[in-house]
Amino acid sequence: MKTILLADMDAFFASVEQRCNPALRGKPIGVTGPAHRSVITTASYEARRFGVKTGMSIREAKALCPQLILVTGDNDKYTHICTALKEVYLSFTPVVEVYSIDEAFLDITGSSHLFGGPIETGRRLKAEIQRRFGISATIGIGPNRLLAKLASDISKPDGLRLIEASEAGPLLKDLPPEKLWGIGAKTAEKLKRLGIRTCGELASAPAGLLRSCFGVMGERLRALGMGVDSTPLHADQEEEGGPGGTKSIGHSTTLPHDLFRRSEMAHWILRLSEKVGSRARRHGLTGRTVTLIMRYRSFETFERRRGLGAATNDTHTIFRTAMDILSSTRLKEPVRLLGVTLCGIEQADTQLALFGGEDRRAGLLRVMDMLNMKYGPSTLTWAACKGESPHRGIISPAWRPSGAHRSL
Amino acid sequence: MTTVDEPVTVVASFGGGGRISPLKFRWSGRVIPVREVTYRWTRHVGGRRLYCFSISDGTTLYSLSFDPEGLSWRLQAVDTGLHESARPRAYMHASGR
Repeated sequence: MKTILLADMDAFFASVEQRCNPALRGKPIGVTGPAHRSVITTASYEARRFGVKTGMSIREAKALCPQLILVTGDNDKYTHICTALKEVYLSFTPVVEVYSIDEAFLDITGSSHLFGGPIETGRRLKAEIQRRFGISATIGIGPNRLLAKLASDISKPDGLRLIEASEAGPLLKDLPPEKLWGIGAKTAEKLKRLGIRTCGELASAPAGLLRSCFGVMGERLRALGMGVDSTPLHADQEEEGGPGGTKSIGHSTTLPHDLFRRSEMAHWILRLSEKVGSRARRHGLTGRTVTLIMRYRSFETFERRRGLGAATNDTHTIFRTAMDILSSTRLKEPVRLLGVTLCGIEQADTQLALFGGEDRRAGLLRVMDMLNMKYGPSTLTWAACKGESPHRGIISPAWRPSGAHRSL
Repeated sequence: MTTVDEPVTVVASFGGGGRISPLKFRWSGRVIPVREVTYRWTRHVGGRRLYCFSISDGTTLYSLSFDPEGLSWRLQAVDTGLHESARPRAYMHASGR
């Protein structure tokens, strides 16, 4: 039987900012992007008591909590701490999957006895995080990732909980399915239409019924209802040097002001395409599909995707494809957020071009990447991006210390 | 925080294990004592790694950075919103030993 531990930082960005600035401690704060038009990325627990939640617009959050203090997030602090946290995790076990910037799974099956058992391992890890970084973490432990996540979710904040395999049945019996990691609102709604309102009902539902409604996912849903999850940990070292678990590479940004004209959106799309392309090139990856994400002023968000003839990590191919998508989209409202994602990730093909043209472009991109790596991002950039003030959004929760990232 | 981004002269101790601790610094003709380092982290500008410190003199919060390549310090930002009631006492450090 495995023992999986989830370390989940409590209100991570907000806790770091409160630790940095003593004036913010004990106060309701909301961490936002730099544009002050962006949404609440993380709210402190003091703000959550007023109903402030991640993803809320600043106006909504202020309406609920007028004394809310807005703090512009600092990505460097968060990535530094996430990287340092990984070192702490590795002192407890070599099998670590940093799942997101503030969550990591640790397989402590073979090492927990060195620290006095699973609970004592969790206690020590919590204490070490508090001592080194001054922030609290909730620790969930279980026989698999699903139950470790559930143990963490029901013990937040600053909690420590172990769910034994034998406890899973009684604990899950009356739990709504959407409380389980991996079952979203849409799936839960579909389950409700089938008369399945609890994990207990899901576990005892006929396999054929679930299969007919959800296809191959039906079996998995039933297993989740029983608290069974055989998903292995993707220890980070396995992913380095190859596509591994990377499914997409993307960036998005909240615009300084809403835009309706496509020509005004072009340089933002070029900037995002360059970020996506350079990150893919840095990791030796290419993608076969470009996705353009748009969010209207009303917060309605949608995406359109287009396949490419050949896998690429060329900034201009990504840009042109994203612009083609934009040209074929009828905009209903001004746009407040744009995102570009490269999907269908595979290892870059290093075969030489037959007629040389692509080699020149690859050479240009390589030189650009080298200069930007040495002197900082956008040291050498496309003329169309010139004159725009750099606009650095808040970091994606999917950020991890090593490798390309699974998604944005 | 208000962005400053000015070079400053800093007295600092360089301890074992590469731990850097600013002790006081001169800015605009004033010597500012460092009461507490509330947080420390690193950031990369291209290939350069900068050591960043969030520090307090008891009433004001400052953000300092040290560039080991050029052996230079910069005052990055200042925040005067450090209330009397929230004066620092014993803060945790980002990379304690």
